[in-house]
Amino acid sequence: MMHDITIGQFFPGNSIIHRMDPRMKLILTFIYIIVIFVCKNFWSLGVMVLALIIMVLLSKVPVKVILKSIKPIAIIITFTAILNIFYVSDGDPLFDWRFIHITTGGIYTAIFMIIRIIALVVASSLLTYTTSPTLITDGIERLLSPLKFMKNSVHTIAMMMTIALRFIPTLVDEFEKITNAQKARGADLETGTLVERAKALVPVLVPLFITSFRRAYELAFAMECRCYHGAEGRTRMKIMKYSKLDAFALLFICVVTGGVVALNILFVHII
Amino acid sequence: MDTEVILQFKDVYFTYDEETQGEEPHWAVNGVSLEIKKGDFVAVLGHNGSGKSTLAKLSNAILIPDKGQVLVEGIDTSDEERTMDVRSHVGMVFQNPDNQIVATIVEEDVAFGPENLGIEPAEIRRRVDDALKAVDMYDYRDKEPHKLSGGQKQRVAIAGIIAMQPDCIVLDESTAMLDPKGRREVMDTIRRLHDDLGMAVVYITHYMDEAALADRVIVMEKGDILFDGTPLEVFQNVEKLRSVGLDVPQSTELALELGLSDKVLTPSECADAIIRSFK
Repeated sequence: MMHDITIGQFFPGNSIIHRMDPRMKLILTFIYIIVIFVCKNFWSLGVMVLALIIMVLLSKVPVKVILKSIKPIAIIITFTAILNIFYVSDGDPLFDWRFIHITTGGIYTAIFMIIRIIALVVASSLLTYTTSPTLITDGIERLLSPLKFMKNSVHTIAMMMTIALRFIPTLVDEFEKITNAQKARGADLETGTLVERAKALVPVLVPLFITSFRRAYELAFAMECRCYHGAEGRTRMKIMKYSKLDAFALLFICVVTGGVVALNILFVHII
Repeated sequence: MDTEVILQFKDVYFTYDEETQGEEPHWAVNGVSLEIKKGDFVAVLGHNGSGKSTLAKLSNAILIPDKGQVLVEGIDTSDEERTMDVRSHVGMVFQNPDNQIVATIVEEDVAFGPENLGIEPAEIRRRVDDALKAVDMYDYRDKEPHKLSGGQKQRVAIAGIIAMQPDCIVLDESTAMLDPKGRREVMDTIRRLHDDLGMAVVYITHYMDEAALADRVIVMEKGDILFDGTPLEVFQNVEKLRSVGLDVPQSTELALELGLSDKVLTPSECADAIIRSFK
């Protein structure tokens, strides 16, 4: 149901990946994504995939859950693959009919792209599976905090993200309540053309917006009552500390990156 | 008992009217003077629009009086530089628990206030644990607020206030949106905070039975104080309370109707009084 869509789909656990410092996880995910694009042949990509498999196993997040994260991008993957098959014309020709030319190069590139996109998505969902949304926003805030000149805006954005995350379930509840109330008044939300159904949503969305404004107003009062006055002079309860675990993880990613660069040099580039 | 004054209203007037064009504005709070002392447990009663919520908002500088003065520990609430001081002395809990919880995890929400005050991380940790234990929500510290019941959410909100260690906590109809069970949980929590931690409580409500638990009852009408006294004293004025749209606790009313001389507030006192009258 709707309650299942929690942004980030955090998967609670106590694995070593869960216990890593969120800042380090953010940095390493970022590096991983860059290195994925550095890969030029199947050997280097293979190293990245292997590294990802090791991390997934360490995280103890069920493979089924991981695979679920790929589902929404199936269309993009298919589309990219088809485009590459038709448009890349290196290598030996395999199939030639009027304007369609399929070559071995096209097939290789397509497979390469599929693996690359999947690795990309799995790596970033591994971050959200093993880190609670609050920790991610906190991590971002702290990573960016050295940027003194924009410290306040970093804090403001992080606070906005936290509040948005906090209110998603509340608003989902509210949406259901209003939908039911409108249905009880005879509103027809389920039949008709797409346009008709979209129009039928208006009487649901208007009250939802109005209550959201009221909520925002009350929340602002409540925050002021708790002495909220922006980032200035604010401390945090949870101190983030890099541990040995994070050092190992960093080392691991460094070795993987080194391997990728070496394999890129040693073997023929595919793309 | 220490008689230190925490909150002092000095002939306070407040209006929501923007422009009056020379006419006398509609005063939401109309010349109120009162004192809340350390360790007081005060219930403020009144029907809708009697000015009781405005009174609450005046007490921690959300609203600033148009005339008169509100002093919190001697600090004038109109002094903008010290607004934060005022708010750290007088904490406030609102009606809708959903709209006052900021963070996605219970303990992080409780930490929000102390974090804003710039307290050391270790001290925040201690205060958060203490506050959650005081409201009996410690076992829920790493839960998500939206999975809690209304009463539990409201207790988290209260914990968020007591973690700031104020001298006085103002509850603005904090049980109005809760079911009877949640209301009882919150009432018990507040009573315990008052009895164990000696925190002054200003409890705004329109439930008579809750007001009967307070040490002192203030009845508001048209922005002014109608009665101010112990629950027993105030609830003797059945007719007058009726005329301003308020009830008295049913037990008190029954005892008065039966012509019992005993002063009765709770059902069990009422039962005792009836039994005694038969002897």
